[in-house]
Order: sequence, then C-alpha cells, then structure tokens
Amino acid sequence: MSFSLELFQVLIFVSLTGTSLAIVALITMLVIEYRRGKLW
Amino acid sequence: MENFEDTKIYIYLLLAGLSLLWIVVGIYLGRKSKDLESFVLCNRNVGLALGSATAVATWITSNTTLLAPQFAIQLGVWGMIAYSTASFGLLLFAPLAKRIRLLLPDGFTSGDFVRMRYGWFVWAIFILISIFYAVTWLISMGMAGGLLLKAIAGVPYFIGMSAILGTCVVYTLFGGMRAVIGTDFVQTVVILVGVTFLGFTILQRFDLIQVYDGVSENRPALVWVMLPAAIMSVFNNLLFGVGEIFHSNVWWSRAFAIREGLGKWCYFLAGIIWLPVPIAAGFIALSADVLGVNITSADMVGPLVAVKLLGQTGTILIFVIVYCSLASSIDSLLAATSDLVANDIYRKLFNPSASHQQVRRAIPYIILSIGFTAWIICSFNNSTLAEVLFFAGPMVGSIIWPILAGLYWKRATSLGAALGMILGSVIGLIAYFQIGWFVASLVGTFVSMIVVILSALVNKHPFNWNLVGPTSQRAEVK
Repeated sequence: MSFSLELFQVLIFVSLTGTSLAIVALITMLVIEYRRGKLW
Repeated sequence: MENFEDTKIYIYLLLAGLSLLWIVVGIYLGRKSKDLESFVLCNRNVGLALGSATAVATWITSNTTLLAPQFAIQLGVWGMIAYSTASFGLLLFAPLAKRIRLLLPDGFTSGDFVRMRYGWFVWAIFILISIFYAVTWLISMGMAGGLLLKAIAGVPYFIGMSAILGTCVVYTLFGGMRAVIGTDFVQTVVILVGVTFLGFTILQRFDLIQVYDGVSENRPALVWVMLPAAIMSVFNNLLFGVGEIFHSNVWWSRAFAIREGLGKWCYFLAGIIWLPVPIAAGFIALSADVLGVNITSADMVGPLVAVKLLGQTGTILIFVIVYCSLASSIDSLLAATSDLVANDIYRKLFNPSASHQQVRRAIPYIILSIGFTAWIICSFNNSTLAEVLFFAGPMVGSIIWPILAGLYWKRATSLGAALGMILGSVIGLIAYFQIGWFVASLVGTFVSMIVVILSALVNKHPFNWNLVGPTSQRAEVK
C-alpha cells in the first residue's frame, strides 16, 4: 500500500506554506518586540 | 557539481563576506555583554521572537538541510516524517522550560539541576555524557563544514572548516549569548527563505502530480506506507531528539536566558516552526527524478537538485543555507559548552569560591580552548570521529527519564538516575552494534525508563525542593 497522491499533496503544501508563514511570524514578532523595547 | 571554476571567485568572496558579516553583527550585538549574567544568559530577558528563532536555528543543523533530503531519497515519505519528529523535542521541552525556571530561578546550567536534585555522583555521569556529546557534536559540525563546502563549492576542506569554526569562535568570544542569539535570528530567516524558495521553484516548474508520479515510477518503495526500517527510524529520531534537547545545556541555557513566563511559548513556537522544515527540504530531494538528476551520492541530493534547478545560483544558495545551518549550531554549542565547563567544572570543582567576575573572565579562555581543540581534531579529517556522534544516541536517550522524573517526580531517586543512565547507555550501545542504529536510542531510553520508574516506586523518601540550594528567589515548589 502506498501513500496516496492527495496525502502527499497535503504534506508538501502544508510544509511549504508552514515555512513561509514561519518567516512572516518571526519577522512580525521581532518588529513588535523591538518597538516595545522587549527584544532582550 | 564538480565544475567549480566559473563560480570559484564568487564562492571565496561569499565565504569571506558571510564570515565577516557574522563577526561584525555578533560583536555589535554583544558589545554590552560585560558581566556574567549578561554574557552567558542575556540578563535572563530574551523575548519571544529571538527566543523562538534561536531554538529553531540551533536545531536546524547541516543535518536538517542535507540529511533530511537524504532521508527522503532513502526512506521516502516516512523518512521526511521521521526527520520532522525531531521537532517533538522542542515541543516537549516547552513545559520543562517553565518548570526549570520555577525550580532554578538563579540557575546557569543543566548541571546545576542534576547536582541539586541527584547529588555529585549522578552529576559526574551526567557531565561526562553531556560534555562528550557536546564536543563530538561540535567536532562533527566543524568537519561537516569543511566537507560540505568542499563538496558544494570546491572550497578546500581545511579552509572551509577553519573559516566556519574560526568565525563562530570569534563572535561568540566577543559577543557571548547575545551574539549567538542575534545571529541565530538572521540565520533562521535565511535558511527558511532558502528552503521555501527552492520548494516553490520546483512547484513553479512541475506540479505535485508529476513529482509524485516520478517517485512512484522510479522508486516505488519511497511512497510505501509499510517500510519497516523507515517506521523504526521515526521512533529513533524522535527519542534522539527528545534526549538531546532534554539533557543538553544548549537548551537549558536558553531556558534560563528567556524572559520569565515566555520559555514554554518560545519552545512551543520553535517546535511548530521547525516541524515542516525537514519535509520541505525532503521534498526537494523527491523532485530529483522528475528533474532528471543523476544522484551520485544520497547525502548530496539536496545540492544536486538545487544546481539542476538554478544553475550557479543554486550552488550559491545552498552554500549560504549550509553555512548558516552550521554556524547557528556551532555558535550555540560553543556558548553552551563553555558555560557548562565554566560553571560546572571550573567553579564547582576547581574554584568553588570564584565570584561571577572570575567566572566571566575564565569564559573567553574556555571558548578559545574548546574552539582550538575542535579545530585541531577537525584538521585530521577522520570520518570515524564524526561517526562517534551516533554512539551518543543511546546515551542521551538514557538521560530522558532521569531528567523528566527529577523535574516532576519527588520519588525519583539518585540511584535510579545513575543506574538508568549507565544501564541505558550500555544496553543501548549493545543494541546499536547488535541490531542497528535505528533502535539504539529506543533501547537506551526504554531500559533507563524501567530503572528510573522501579527505583522511584520503591522509594519511601520523597525529595523536597524547598529544602535544597538557594531558595530566596524560588517560589514554593509543590
């Protein structure tokens, strides 16, 4: 039995979208904390 | 991959530019780190963005960017999933980070916890395993740097290895934890952008059906649901990751450095961010067939696909990703290991009356000594040295339960912790040689678990945190 094409598509789509969102989230958090003077 | 002449000058400029960039950024960010708490723990005030990014960056090693594609091309879909389970270590450490700050509000290292909870004998075993693991990881990263920059861009091994190790030593030496955490953020973003860019470039040229069909036709086993070795590797990777993060001072020092109340969120977020990265990197490898890439060696499948996709730009992109992956782990290892040696070896064994200023003054010498030792050993370029890191799997696996039980279970005993670490390591190593690498951590963890649980069940004298160590800043522990 093989992994279905649909499952494969979901896996790759979620991972690529996830890494893209991670970039946005990290930069957004950095900017917000920098503005609040709470970076470190 | 073999014709590097066209890009040679760009690669050397890039190597020099990246090295200089990290040194300048690191020293600038760490310019105010004068006293011990500031240099080692950023005054225990790191925010969510930098705290999450440093955990992600440290956990993304050259293995993540190059071994994840290799896992995908050898173990298929399960291989990608197996590698991504290493993120469970970060996720499961999230509640521990909170507990660690509660139990040790003034703590510096993981050694502090083990000594206070279990005493000197368990501390000695723990320190031996911990320093052995940290140094072999550092050496394997240094060697990987030399080998990878040579394979990817033709940079001679000695130059590539020396450049990466030297750069990390210099900025960690002058900037301390602030330099490490600050550069980690930039390196995380660069790595994520690089991996995502490669993934979307593949999707721009082919749709996922073509990639799936290419794999199904040429390597059908890679999409099988039942691939026993791959399924075993899921558990092994998960436990190796959990063990590594639970014991290593790299992660404990961050738990102490992150602002109170944020530790669990930083590690949780880091785990979520890290989870899809090996799958995205593995996808690059699975597109090798549809791209018509001739895979000459499995460990270079990622770079081969990048070059096929983007030509010389691909070489440069992979070069930058690998450099960042290595630097973000090497700097963290240097900082955390020097912290461990300074606080647990120098202060506790050789100079118990040392003030914070004396420990702070000792740290640069320790960083230089560790960096120099790693550089000398890496210079021999002996591949069997790097393989030693794999032996650490059962050792770190055997520490999971002593740490967990020590943090949460009052009845956990010193004898159980010591025997759990020793028996787990020994029997795990026997399994490594008799069965294979993919069960070693599993066996080590299981044996240790049994020993720790049994010894706790028969113990009638619960441990009381409220009677141990400096309790002035500690809230009452229940």
